[in-house]
Amino acid sequence: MKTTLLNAWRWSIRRLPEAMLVLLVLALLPGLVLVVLEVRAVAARFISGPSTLWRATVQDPWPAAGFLVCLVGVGLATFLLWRNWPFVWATGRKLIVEALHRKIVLVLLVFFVVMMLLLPFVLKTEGSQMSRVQLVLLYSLVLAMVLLSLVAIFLSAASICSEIESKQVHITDTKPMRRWQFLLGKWFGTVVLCSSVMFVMTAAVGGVVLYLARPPKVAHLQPREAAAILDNHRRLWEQVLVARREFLPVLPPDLDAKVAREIEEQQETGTWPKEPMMRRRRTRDLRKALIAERWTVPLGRARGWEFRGLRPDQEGNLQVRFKAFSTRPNAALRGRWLVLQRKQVKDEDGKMVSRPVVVHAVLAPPEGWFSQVRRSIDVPGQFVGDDGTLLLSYENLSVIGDAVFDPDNLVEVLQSQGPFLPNYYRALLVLFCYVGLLSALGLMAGSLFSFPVASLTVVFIVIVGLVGPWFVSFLSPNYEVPLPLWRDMLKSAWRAFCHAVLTVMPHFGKYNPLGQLSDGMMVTWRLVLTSGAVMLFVKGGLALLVGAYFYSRRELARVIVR
Amino acid sequence: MPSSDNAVLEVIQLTKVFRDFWGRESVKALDSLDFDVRRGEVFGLLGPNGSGKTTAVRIVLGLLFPTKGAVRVFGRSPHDIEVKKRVGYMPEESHLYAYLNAEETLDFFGRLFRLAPRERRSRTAALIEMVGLQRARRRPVGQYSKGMARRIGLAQSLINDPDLVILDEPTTGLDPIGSREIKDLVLALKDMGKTVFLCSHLLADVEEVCDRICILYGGRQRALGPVEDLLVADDVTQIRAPHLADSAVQRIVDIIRESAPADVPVEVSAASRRLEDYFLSVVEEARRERLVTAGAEPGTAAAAFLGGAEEQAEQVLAELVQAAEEAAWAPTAPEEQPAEALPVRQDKEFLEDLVRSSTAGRPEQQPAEAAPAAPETSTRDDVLQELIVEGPADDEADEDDTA
Repeated sequence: MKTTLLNAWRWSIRRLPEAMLVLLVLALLPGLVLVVLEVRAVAARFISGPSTLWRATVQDPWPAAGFLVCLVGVGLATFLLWRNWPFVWATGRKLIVEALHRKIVLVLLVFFVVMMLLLPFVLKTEGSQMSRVQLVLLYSLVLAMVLLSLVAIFLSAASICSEIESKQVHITDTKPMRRWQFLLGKWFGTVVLCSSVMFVMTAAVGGVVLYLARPPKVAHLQPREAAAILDNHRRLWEQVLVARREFLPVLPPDLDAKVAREIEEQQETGTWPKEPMMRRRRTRDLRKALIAERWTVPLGRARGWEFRGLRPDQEGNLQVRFKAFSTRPNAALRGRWLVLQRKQVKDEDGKMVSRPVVVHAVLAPPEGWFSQVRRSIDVPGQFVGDDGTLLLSYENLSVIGDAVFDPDNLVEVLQSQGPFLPNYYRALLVLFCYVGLLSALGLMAGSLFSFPVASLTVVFIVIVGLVGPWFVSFLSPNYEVPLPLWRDMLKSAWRAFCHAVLTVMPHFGKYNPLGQLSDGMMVTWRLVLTSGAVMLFVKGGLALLVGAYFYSRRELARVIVR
Repeated sequence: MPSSDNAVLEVIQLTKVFRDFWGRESVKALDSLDFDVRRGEVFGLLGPNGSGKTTAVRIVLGLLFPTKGAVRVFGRSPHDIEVKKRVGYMPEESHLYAYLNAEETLDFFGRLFRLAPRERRSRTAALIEMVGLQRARRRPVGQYSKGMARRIGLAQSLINDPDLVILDEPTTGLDPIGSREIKDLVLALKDMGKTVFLCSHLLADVEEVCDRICILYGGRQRALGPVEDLLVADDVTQIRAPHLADSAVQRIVDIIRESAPADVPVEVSAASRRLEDYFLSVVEEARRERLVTAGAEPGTAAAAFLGGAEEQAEQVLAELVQAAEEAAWAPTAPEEQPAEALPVRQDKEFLEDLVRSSTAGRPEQQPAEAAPAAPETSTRDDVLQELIVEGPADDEADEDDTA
């Protein structure tokens, strides 16, 4: 019996690399299907109105560029893997077998399961089903990604460094395999291992989340309590387990003209800065100030917002999010949101004219709205006009103080665009790009340095990638007094260098889909395509090229004399 | 000055300088090394520790880059993929993947040569049998003894049926039996027309198998040429004969004294067996008593696929058995091998040679009185016995392993 089990274990270990490869291919197949469907939809839009699509592409070229880069990248990767398959799979398979023997995957899965079991005790929720599901979804995925990122970095870096240090590469390198093929195989092995484990982990997370989101049993509860629980369950599926898109209000048409006028005035008075970055910042500030002014609601008055492009005839609720505060310190906002629809009404002269009419109102809670956090109200989706327009108005009913809406967090309407599972899957595709990039970085560092240095280098790159966008905000000059020319040039050069470095660094925060996913926001194809293009194919490919360049020129049997 | 048209490996004015982090010269490992290795010969690179042998081998393999000079393998750069397809390399230490077993290790390296799955499997089985690791073929290589690891290291170097085999200290870490088998294998490879380039500091090993040698010291080439030419002692005559009576010995000494000056010393003593021969005879006796060992078993002759005539293996095997029986196990005179390059011969010829050499031994190494227990003979006999009754014995071994 023991021998049979042992043989079965050995057999499964020998077959696991192939099983992982098949699992990865199966996991990526739905992505291919979804992409084909999306391309078909875009093609249909192009046939029906080429100019509209062209205009949209000119306004936001990133999805099209990302798609093209991904298309070329996938084609190139497929070609390279196909042509070099014996080497790639031999090397990658060996890496997977070694990792399995080293119990890396087992430890990873056990640790993940233990942490998953501990999560309910660690996470403090407000007790509702929605908050519980939201936190479990977010923290489980964060945990999975942290573990997988560490494994991807250390496994890829160690796979190169340990082979060089233990001189195994002395044998491998004498075989008819080019060094870049060896690196490609290592990368592929790491990606297959980490991605297949990632898909297993995330499938488990998805299962747990759907289990937690099942309809609550309320038969034994009081009607009021049962209604609250059912309402929470409804909101869970409307606001968390859903793919929503945000719609921002239409800005005042004269905004740009007003900004231009302000700039002219400042130029005339000589207060307009000379430094280009300062000019950009001043323009942004002016714009924000005008927006804040436009949507400041005086006491007893009302202001309106118009949203366009929503889906009409949708059941369920829309969510309206806003952040506002009173001009009086510590004063709560009291007022009401009005939903309007354009209807044909008779005017004073008895003529039929189109006018906005209040169709729904949402009152502030008795304690009012405080300014510290973003607030939200639910609006029935049926009030979206046939042309996809939603009109909102806020009426300030406070006793004292005007209501100012934060220009940095404009009022937004969130509307469901699709179900949760495709959204979840798109988020996984972005995480797959993460794994690919981290593996490439690990290999690049491993082909240059020894293991400790290589792994620390990648960790450093990841940290810089995370804080990079925040650091960029400090690069713009904050001096108003003109500097001497040489200091100005020096600072400009330094800023340009920092910008270049931070641009090359992988921006993990920028393409992180987990916040959006747990917030019920749509992980768009735009995000998937741009992260695939930028992270996987451009930066990951660049890292692999750099690694291959240095590894090909490295004396693998070199005696290091220090 | 490597100039031979027949050269498989050309080393031209090869110099290697290792530098420190700051680019300062730290070690001059090789200095103007210049030799060639000809097709079909066994070439030995000799030298004490630190003389630059391994550095030279690593440059030949493309693992290090020359500071000056050049290396041409089959007329091309060592980095050329076509060159690597024809080269097999066994490093000084078997740096193998500890978590893979023997089969997985050979399968991995077979994949790197783009061998078809069936071909990989057959070669893997043949090589594992050749190096005597059938029982340990599913054990992780990390659990192997040093000698066993060397054996699998040797097997991986032959997976591609290479034309040039590079062996770095091939007998290091091996017991005398393994060492003997390696030396036999080197000779077998040579008989197949393959070129063997080995480096070692074990002079006896090199002397036994090499056609030509190059001796290094301090990275410089100190001697180069055929072993016989370099080792011949013109001023000494050696006579080897079966045990003689004292009177006969005295007569011989008298004859020598008549033709030699009186002050020249003449020595007559009983011939002694070499320790290697004695050790092998003891082990052979233990094997005949069927004592069990957890280590490597005796390897078989070179795998059939080496030499590229695998499809004829069955027929050759049958002929081999017949030839072995007809040969009546009688010692015959060894055939003189030409010092120049040998053409690739058919397996049949090789195996017939193998039979002959197994029965004849090598006269300069085997004293006549040691003939009955001569280890080479015993090892070869063992191989042939196994070949004759191979089927059931092999099946039994497989069953044992599975159980």
